[in-house]
Amino acid sequence: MSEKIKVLIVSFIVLFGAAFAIMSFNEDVAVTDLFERLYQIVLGEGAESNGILEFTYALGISSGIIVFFNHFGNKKIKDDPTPLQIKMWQYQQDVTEYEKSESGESE
Amino acid sequence: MILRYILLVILGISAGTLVAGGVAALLTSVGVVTRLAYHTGTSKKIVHYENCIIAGSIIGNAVVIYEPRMNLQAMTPAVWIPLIAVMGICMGIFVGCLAMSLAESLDVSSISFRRLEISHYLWMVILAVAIGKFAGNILYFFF
Repeated sequence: MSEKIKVLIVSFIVLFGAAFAIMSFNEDVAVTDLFERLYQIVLGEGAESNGILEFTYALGISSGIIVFFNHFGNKKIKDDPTPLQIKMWQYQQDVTEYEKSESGESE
Repeated sequence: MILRYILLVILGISAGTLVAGGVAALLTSVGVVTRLAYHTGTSKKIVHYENCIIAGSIIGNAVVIYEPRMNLQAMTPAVWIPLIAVMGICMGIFVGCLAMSLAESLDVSSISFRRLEISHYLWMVILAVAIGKFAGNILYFFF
């Protein structure tokens, strides 16, 4: 029961944290101003924003993240382990090695 | 004229894919989510946390690009104050973990603590850093 609560709390933290990371990145590079400039360059002067660039940008972000993390919901795209699984395994390896060296030195 | 629209579509999709790859790679290599998962003992649910990263990134990007007006203040204050409080606390925890783990991946703490030889009272230094970050944020936002 307490594990479900912990998973819930960490899920909320990761959800809003990832949203914050990409929101602050888009604000830093001023993506909306850049899109206005791009509309002026490609479609000629005095063009108003059509919504094309915004929609394809959102589409590209979704597909990029899904391809990077190699799974969508419960289904995997290829049979590789996901990047975070490899990171988790590496971290556990490091902790195990550290404990081994600690107990080996103290003997 | 059609060619210009095709160019816009290609620009949009490629920009989105690259940006998503960059942000996701940053979140992965910094190791915030793995550390959170490990220290709460829920490291088996890392696939579930990846789902949360995917959902959070897509929703956050849609909010910044489209800026929907949600007008939550029309409800009673008892409804939207907890919502925004939860959002703020979660974002704050994530940004704090991100900042400290960036500083740690540069080996700042280990090298300076070894030079100054204060490894016995490490907890005091970390507590001071936490209080300092808190005070700095309050000063930044309210003064």
